[in-house]
Amino acid sequence: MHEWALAESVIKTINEKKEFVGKKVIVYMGELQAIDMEVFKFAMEEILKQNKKKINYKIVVEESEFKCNSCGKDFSMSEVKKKSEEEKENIHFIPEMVKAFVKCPKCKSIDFEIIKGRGVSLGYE
Amino acid sequence: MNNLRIDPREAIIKDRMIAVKNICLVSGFKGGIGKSLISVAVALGLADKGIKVGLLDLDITSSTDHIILGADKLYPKEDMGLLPPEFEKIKFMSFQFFSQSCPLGFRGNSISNAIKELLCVTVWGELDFLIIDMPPGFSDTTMDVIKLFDKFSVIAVSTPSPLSKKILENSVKVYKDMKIGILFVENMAQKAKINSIRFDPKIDKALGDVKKIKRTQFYKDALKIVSKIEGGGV
Repeated sequence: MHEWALAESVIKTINEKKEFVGKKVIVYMGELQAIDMEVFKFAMEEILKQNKKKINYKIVVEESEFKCNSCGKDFSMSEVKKKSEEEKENIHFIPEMVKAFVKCPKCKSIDFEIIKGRGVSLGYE
Repeated sequence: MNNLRIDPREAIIKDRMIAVKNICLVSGFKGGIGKSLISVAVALGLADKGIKVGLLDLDITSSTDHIILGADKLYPKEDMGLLPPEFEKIKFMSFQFFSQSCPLGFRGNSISNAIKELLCVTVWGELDFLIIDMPPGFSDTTMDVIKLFDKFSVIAVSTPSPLSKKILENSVKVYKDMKIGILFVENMAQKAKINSIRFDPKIDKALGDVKKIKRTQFYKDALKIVSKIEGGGV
């Protein structure tokens, strides 16, 4: 249920930033964080009900992309060894923990960047 | 559609700290001067006095508070966020829970993202003191803490080494300019002085065992620091 904490941060930001006034908000969800979409949507609706607010939003899931700082290879989660449930849980809470459990598939370096699909971010249409 | 991306986490971090009365950074800028030991000892000392205390190990790539406490099997529970596990009456949070002691090769952006994520989802609840064990150096973690927290004080640690004292002197100028309360503590001191913790060769053998730590000279000296910060001396 840490999705609830993320939903709180999303709603607070949308309410506070003038950029979102009158816009359809896009909630980008990084593949890496593996948010439980049903729990997140439920938390969003419950918090909005409590705040007596309505937000026009949609969720877009982004695939993760990485770039190795050592050899320059671009890679995705599908190219790395399957992670255990425990490892997935740790990455779910702190996406940067991917660096503890993933290496570049080409040169095995742990020095890589998360280019895309990390966690939650907001935009609008 | 446009390319604007807004990070929603920063908006909630101050709310998460709303019931935390005092945030105290244990900082010292040089490595190996005892910041982690002092952080743990101060948290234990406050907890022993019945004070509600949290301990946050922000030395992401070299977390050791769990080793000092002997608390390496803890994991946070989920309840509308992450609840720090309690150990010796201390609410304790560390990146080690998630890294499983695997090496973390973090560059600046990853450090900032990991800190923001943890602070966004950690539900501390009511605390009298949150003790934060800082990494060495005046870099990403320090900048993030300054940016994300409205109010904090600093326990500035040095050793009798002139190198440690010089680097501390240079670094605390930033805090002084910000009018942040600073308590200077000399660790590994040759003899007892005000705000000093004497060198104690027995402390290494007590690591991982809180009962043994509490019997050391190191801990007894650290309790003087506890009395000071409890009484608002920072």
